[in-house]
Amino acid sequence: MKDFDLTSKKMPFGESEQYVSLLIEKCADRAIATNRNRVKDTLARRIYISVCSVAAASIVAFSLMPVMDSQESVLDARYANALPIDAMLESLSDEEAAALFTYTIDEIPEY
Amino acid sequence: MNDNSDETLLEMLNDPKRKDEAFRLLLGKYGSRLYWHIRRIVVGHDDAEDVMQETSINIYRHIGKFKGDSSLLTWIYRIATNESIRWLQRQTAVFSSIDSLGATLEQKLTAECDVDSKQIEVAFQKALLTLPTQQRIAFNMRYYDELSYEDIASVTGKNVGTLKTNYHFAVEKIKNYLKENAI
Repeated sequence: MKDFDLTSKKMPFGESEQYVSLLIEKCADRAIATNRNRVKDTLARRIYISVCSVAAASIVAFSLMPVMDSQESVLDARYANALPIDAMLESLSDEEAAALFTYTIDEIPEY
Repeated sequence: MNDNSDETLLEMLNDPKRKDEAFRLLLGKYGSRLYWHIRRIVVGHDDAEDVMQETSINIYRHIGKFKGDSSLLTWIYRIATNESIRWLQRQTAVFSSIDSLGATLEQKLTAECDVDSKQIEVAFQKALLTLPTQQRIAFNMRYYDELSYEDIASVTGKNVGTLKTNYHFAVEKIKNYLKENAI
C-alpha cells in the first residue's frame, strides 16, 4: 500500500466502536435464536408431514376396501353361474372324452 | 476471550454443546471487520445492519459445512460479500447491473456522512463509488482490510493476476477522480 496512501483509512461515518460491538452481540443473539426456531420448525414440519402421510394412506386404504370387496363378489357371481369344468367333463361319454383327447386342429370343419 | 485461535473456535463450533459460545467468540473476533466490510459495500447504515444480520445467520447455519479449504476469515468474508452483493442486486432495477447503483449509493453516503468527517475522506469514498462493484470490493479488501491477493482471490473467486491488475486500475481511477475534483 506504499504506492497509495492518499488518505487515512478512516471512514466518514459516525458509528462508534461501542455501537458496532452492540450490533455484533445483537446479530449473534438473533442468529442463534433464528436457528433454534428453524430447527423447531423443521421438526414440526416433519411430524406434520408424517401424520398427514399416514392419514392420507389410511383414507386411501379405507376408500379402496369396498371396491375390492365388490370386485370379489362379481368374480364369485361369474364363477357361480359358469359350469364347473369337472361337472362338464363328468357329463361326457367315453367316446366324447376320447374325441376331445384326440382332437386336432385339422378337424375343424370348414364353414 | 478473543485470543481464541481459529482451530479452537472451529473445534468448539462443531461441538453442539459449545456452538453458541463459539459463535459469539467468532463474531467477537471478526465481527467488527465484517461490519465495516459490509458497510463499505452497501454504504447505508440500516442496510449494513440488515446485511450483517443475514450474514451472521448464514455463518451460524453453514459453519458445519466449512471444510477448512480456505481460512476461516476468508470463508466468512465470502458469505458477507455474497450477502452484500445480493442486497445490491435487490436494490437494482430489472435488467440493470449493480454497477448502476453508484449514484444511489453516493446519495446515501452524502446523507450519512458524519459532520466532523474530513472532506478528503468523503471524496475518497465518492471516488470508490465510481468503480465497478467487483473492483470496488476487491480494492476495499486490499486497501482497508489488508488481505493478501491470495485471500481476496479465495473470497471473490478471481485469479490473483486479475486482482493485481484491477487494484492498479482502481488506484489510478481514484487518483484521477481526486485530481479532477481538486482535492
